[in-house]
Amino acid sequence: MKNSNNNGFILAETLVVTVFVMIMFMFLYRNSLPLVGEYERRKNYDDIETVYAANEIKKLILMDPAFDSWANTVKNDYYKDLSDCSNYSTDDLRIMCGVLKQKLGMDTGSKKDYILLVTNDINRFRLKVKRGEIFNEGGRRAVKDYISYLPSITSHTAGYDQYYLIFSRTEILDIGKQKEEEIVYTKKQVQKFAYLEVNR
Amino acid sequence: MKKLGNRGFTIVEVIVCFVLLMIIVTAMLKVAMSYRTTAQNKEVEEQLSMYKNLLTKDVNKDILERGLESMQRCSSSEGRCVKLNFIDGTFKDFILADVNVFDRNSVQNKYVRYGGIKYPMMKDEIPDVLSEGSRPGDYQSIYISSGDIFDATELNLGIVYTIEFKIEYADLDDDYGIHITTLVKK
Repeated sequence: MKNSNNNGFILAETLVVTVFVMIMFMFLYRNSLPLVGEYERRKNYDDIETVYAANEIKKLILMDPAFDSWANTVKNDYYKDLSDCSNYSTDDLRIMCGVLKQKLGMDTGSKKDYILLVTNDINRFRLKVKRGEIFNEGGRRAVKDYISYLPSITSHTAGYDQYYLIFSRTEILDIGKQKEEEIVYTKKQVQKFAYLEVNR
Repeated sequence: MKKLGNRGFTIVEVIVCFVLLMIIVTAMLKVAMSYRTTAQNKEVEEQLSMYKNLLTKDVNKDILERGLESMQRCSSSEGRCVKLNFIDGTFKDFILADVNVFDRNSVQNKYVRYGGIKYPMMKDEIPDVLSEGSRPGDYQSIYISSGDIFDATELNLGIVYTIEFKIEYADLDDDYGIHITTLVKK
């Protein structure tokens, strides 16, 4: 009769396999965790409300007679920062910029919001950001992440005289969590971004 | 012939095994239940975002395609009302239905009527075990901003119109209200 070996695994074998499986799971977990953060970030990119808000800023930019000079700056430097209302050429436009920024929820929180007129060749602008020539101060992580996320449209695929708008606004939310018998509210700031074509 | 050890388990071994198993199952159940709540919340978030996006898109589409001439407050028995007058001579009413903040059904049937079409702004399946909120406009876990939803700022170059109200849930991390701002050039 065949002598069957029914001893099973010894403790050391089981431990080795368990440790090996745990290392595998840890590796998987560590690699999949950034994807959750990525998803949370992308929820705030190009949502319908922010795209329409960017469209209102686009109207304002196109109203300014200085648009052509800004376009020249964009051709040379790959971007023009219009976040500050003092960039606009008349008092009326500056006032309108201030009102629009306030209504659209820009600079309402501690986060800095942006109105950037950029080249259609986003790769060149992206390179500038990557080299640290712009946004090299602290606290610019969110806008840098958004710029690296933007699709690459080069001058070969888009006309030379096309410009794009990078726009951000900040939403201040009241987040309620139940603690024992009552709901406790805390403020949360969410920065939302949109990217829009600008044509005269 | 080899003697086989077929004695089986003792009662102590079986009990220890069951206790360990129960502890593991209980821990797993807790984790699974928390994921179930998260999944439910995500589904509700998706629905609410869909309603919000649909309404935002429809209003903005009318503003862009028909051209907005002006906006003004109007009166309606249903709730807070804003009238949108378009350049093509047509108009649409934007009505945020009023609710009785002490009546659950009233809150959960909250809607916006735009151009005669009803857009639901709430979801019945919201987990609603939370107690009454502390702010005005709160019902259980739901906060709806009270007061005026319309604003117009007249400037030299044009008028900036705003339709705005907040809808927030304690369980969900977003604002499902409407925020429409549009600039009408003079």
